Formats: sequence, structure tokens, C-alpha cells
Amino acid sequence: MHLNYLANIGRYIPEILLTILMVGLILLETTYKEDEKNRRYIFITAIIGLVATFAALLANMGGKAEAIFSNAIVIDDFSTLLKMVMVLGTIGAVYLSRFSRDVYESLKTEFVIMAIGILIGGFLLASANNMLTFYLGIETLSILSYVMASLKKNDERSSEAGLKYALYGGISAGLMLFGMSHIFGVIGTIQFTGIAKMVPTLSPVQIAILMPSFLLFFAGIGYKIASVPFHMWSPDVYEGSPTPVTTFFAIVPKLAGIAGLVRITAIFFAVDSPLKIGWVGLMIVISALTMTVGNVTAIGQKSVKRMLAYSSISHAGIMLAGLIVMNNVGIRAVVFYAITYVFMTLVAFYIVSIVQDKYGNDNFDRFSGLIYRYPFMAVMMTVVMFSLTGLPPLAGFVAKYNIIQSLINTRNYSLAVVLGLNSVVSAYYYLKIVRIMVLKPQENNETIEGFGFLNQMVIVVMTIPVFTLGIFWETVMSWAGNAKLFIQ
Amino acid sequence: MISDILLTIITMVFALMVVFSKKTVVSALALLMTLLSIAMIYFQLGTLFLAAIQVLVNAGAVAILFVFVMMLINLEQFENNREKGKVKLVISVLAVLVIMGIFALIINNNIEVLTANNIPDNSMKLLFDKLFSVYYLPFEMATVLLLAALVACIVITGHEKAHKVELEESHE
Repeated sequence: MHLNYLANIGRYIPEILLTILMVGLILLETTYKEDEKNRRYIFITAIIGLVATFAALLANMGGKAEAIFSNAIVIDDFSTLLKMVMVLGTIGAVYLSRFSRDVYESLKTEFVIMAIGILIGGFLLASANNMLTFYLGIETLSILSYVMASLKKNDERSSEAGLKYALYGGISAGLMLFGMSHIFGVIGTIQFTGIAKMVPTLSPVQIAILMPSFLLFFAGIGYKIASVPFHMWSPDVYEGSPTPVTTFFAIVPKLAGIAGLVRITAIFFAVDSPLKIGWVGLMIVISALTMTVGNVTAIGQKSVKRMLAYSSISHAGIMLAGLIVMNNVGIRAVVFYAITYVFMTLVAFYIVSIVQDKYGNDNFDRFSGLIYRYPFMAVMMTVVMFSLTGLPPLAGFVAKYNIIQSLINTRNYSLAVVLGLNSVVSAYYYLKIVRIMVLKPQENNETIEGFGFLNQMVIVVMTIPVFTLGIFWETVMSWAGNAKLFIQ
Repeated sequence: MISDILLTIITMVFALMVVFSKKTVVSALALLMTLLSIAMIYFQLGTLFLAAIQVLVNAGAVAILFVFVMMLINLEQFENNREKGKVKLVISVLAVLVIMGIFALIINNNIEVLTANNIPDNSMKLLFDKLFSVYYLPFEMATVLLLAALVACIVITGHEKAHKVELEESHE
């Protein structure tokens, strides 16, 4: 066993590519003079590297699922698919950072480097198979996130966001390590499957010790995906950070956390035990609370960015609901939801970011009459808002429908009802922006430089999946359906 | 024997530099050298594992942490304050007392002192066998994490002037 620890390194090419890309960008950044031309080369290098990573992941799809590096990492279609989604989100955020004025010119390269670093952490988290790799993934994800949040160094809110994020992150990572050490102390292994094997054989005393430790363990992940008791940092961080960073945060760390949580839940609690009942109960409560709190708080917001931040909390809640089902249907629904969520979030944040660059803030009023000035963009925003609400025939509808269906199939009626009611609530604030765009008279007739031809094209291209996934969803659904978890 | 004395002298010199140098960075680097030369002493005693841990943890992590912190806080404001006060004298006296106390304890209680003869040392081999096989990936990923932390640290501290210029331009 010791000799073949590098045997399957071929399955690990995406991560290796990313690491090489990150180190290469650091070298490029330090050796070349900082001017516009070189910055463009670095940007192109980053995009090429990310696309290559995406291609490598695509090549990995459909391959035999296996655990590599002495069982530290699992490469299966589930993790590969979510990694592809994360890469797409990163490409989107990197492109947005290129023209956004919210990131200092001199820090744009650093933004790209840090985004790739976070992506490596996300990859690690998505396929972690023991507590050590899991923790390393969370930590790589977090440390860079703190700095990314405070990228606007001369802005008070940005610094505050970074500090808040760091404090919350430090505490929750500490709690998680504490929980992990308890689990290791009782069970004696860090391997997820080893823990799962021991769970049914535990004595009541051991279970009594383990219950709080699993709770602490959850604190770490719950904080990453901003689920309810640990969501307090998220709106401030999302609002204070530069918009490209917010876009990135709403996608990569969140999906990585969900992926990690899905794997843990599926492995640990495959068999019935008091722990499983406790965990599922906890998840149901947290999922319902996350949805509701996110939605209800989003109603009163003035800033569209902050509204999107709260709505992303509620989307995390919906994905958690799919996770409770704990069968392949549920996992398929979560994966599909993640795929649609990326495109919707990207389009929404792109438009908000461009409007904000022009006016310096992103209050709802800035969008008034957008349809008379930029009809195409207003229509795209409308489509995305409808999709986020979950109206047919858009992608968001299919995604939500799948989750509700899997919930009803497993008799989680109450959660399905909560989800449905929440969609109604969310319609209020999503459609509010549509109303302002269409019905209010325009404030002025200035051109918004950000809506150049290229950017409009990019936004339209990103909206296409929102349409097509809503209508031709079977293909993607079957990929997601094949993306089963591999448990070893 | 000569090498022992030489190592001791080197360690002492660096240790004194930690206390008496005027620049904080020099102090930190001297601390790093002190820790490394202590690792050399361990190495001479044949306690390979202890030497490796000394290099990895104390020299590698703790001293680097000092440098990290120095990068994060503004260094210049502390440089002039080092000469003031009698704190240094008090601390020196206390340190001497503590060291003498430890020696007195060792001599009085006949605590078994580590020598090259009484340590069965294949712990290094065991440790690194594990590190480079079973825990290979976490080991490598920890390096990525450290690199990421380094980048983060530089981003937070560096480039002050450039941003101010940019901020002023955007206000105009």
C-alpha cells in the first residue's frame, strides 16, 4: 500500500494544474513590471489555466470512481461535477474583476491568485474523505477569503468585513477542530468511512459524547455555507467586499461547503442510529430556518447586493433541504440546483456590479427604468429574477421542483411546505426589482460604460443556460443522476 | 568536543543578539538562528526526531509567525522604544534566576539526562514514512495552505502608496 501512493496521480490532474497555475501567476506577478499590458497577459494566462482545469475535469467525468492518496481523497462524478461548477463560477468572477472598478487596479492580479487559491481549497473540500483533508480544505478556503473580503483596503466597510469574517471564521474553525478531536478521541480514526463503520457499534455513553461533537463539527461547515445560526457574518461581508469578491463568495465557498456536507451526511449516517436521527432533525430545522431567515430579511433591504446576499443564504437552505433526503434522488437534485444557481448568481451580480460601478451604490432606485435604457440587460435581469423565484419554464423552477419532489417522496412534507412558502416570499423581493426596472420612469439617460457590447454579450451568453436548463433539463439531470457518491 | 563548544558559543551569541539588537527584524532572525543552532545541538546528541521537530515547529513555524506578525503591525513605531525602561534588566535577571533554578533541579534530583546512548531513535524513519506515504496529500496541501497564507499576508500589508494614489484619483 505504501508504494502505490502516487499510483493514481492521473486522476488528480485538475488540482495539480490549479496549483501550478497559482504558483505560476505568483511568479509572473512578481517578476514582471506592473502595467496594463502585463496585467492583461496575466489575466489571459489565468483564464487559459482555468479552462484547462475545466477540460481536465471533463476528462475525469465518467471515469471509475476511486479513493486516491491512501484514501485521503475521493474522485467521483459527484465531486467532479461540483468542481466543474466551481471552476465556472471562478471564471465568471475573474472576468468580472477584470472590468469592475470595485477592485483596485494594482490588486487585480492578486485577486486572481487568491481566487485560484480558494478554488484549490474548494476542490479539496469537495472530495475530502477524511477529517484532515476536510480541515485543510476549509482552512485554505477561509484564510484567503478573509483577505479577499478586505481587498478594498481604504474602505472602512471592506476592512470591517474582512475582520468580521476572520473572527467568525477563526472561532468556527476552532469549534470544528474541537469537535473533530472529540470524534477522533471516541472512535480512533479520522477516515470518514472508518467513523461510519463504528457509528452503529457505539455504546450510549459514547453516543452522548459524540452528539455535541458532531454539532461542533457542523459549526465549521455551517459557517462556510452561511446556514442560520452561523449566518451573521454573511450580509456584512457580502456587502462590504468588492462586488467581484461577493460574486465569488456566493458561489465557490458555498458550493464547496455543500459538497463536503453532502459527502459527510451520506457517509456517516447511511445506517440508522440515534446519531442519524439527531443529525437529520438538526438538518431539517437548520434548513427551514436558513430559508426563512434569509428570505424574510431580504425583503427589507435597500441595496440590491445585500438583497442578493440574503437570498443566497436562503438558497443554501434549499440545497440543505435536498441533502436531508439522503438518497441519490436528493443528491441529484442538489447537484442540479448548484449548476443552475451558478448561472443565475453570475448574471445577477454582473448587472449589479456594472450599475454599481457607474453610480457608486446599488440601491434599488438605481435600476429604475433600466428597460428603457438597456432593454436587453433589463430582460436578462428579469429572466434571472424569475428563475431565482422559481417560475416555470426557467431553470430555477426545475431545480426547486426536483428538491420538493424528492422531499415529498421521502415524506418530508413539512419541509416541502416551508420551501414552497419561502418561494412565495422570495417572489416579493425578486419581482420588486423587475417592477422597478420596468414600471418606474428612468432617473436619467446617461450611458453606463460597463454595458459595452462585449459585456452585454457575455451576460446574454450566461443567461442562455438559465433558459435551456429550464426546458432541456433531462441531459444535465442525467449527468447529475450519474454523479453518485463513491463511498470507501 | 570542540564542535560542542563552538555550537554552544554560536547559540549564546545569537541568543544575546535576540535581546540586544536594536532592530526588531534582526532580533527575529537571530531568534530563528538560535532555534536552529539548538536543533544542531539536538542533532549532535543523536536525537534526530527532536532536532527535526525543533526545525519544523520552532524554527519553521514559530519564528516565521513572529515575522508574519511584524509584517502585519507597523514595524517602525516599535523600533525606537526598545531602549527605554528598566524592563529589560528585570527580565534578564528573572531569566537568569529561572535558568539557575532549572539547573539546580536537575542536579539535585538526578534527572536522567538525554545522551546519545539512551535514546532508541528510529522515530524519524517512522514519522517520515507516514508523512511521505499515508499523509502525502495532506502534507503537500499544507504547503499550498502556507503559500496561500503568505500571499494573503503580502496582499494585506503591501502596496500602501499605490492604493492611496488610486483612491485620490477616483475621488477627483
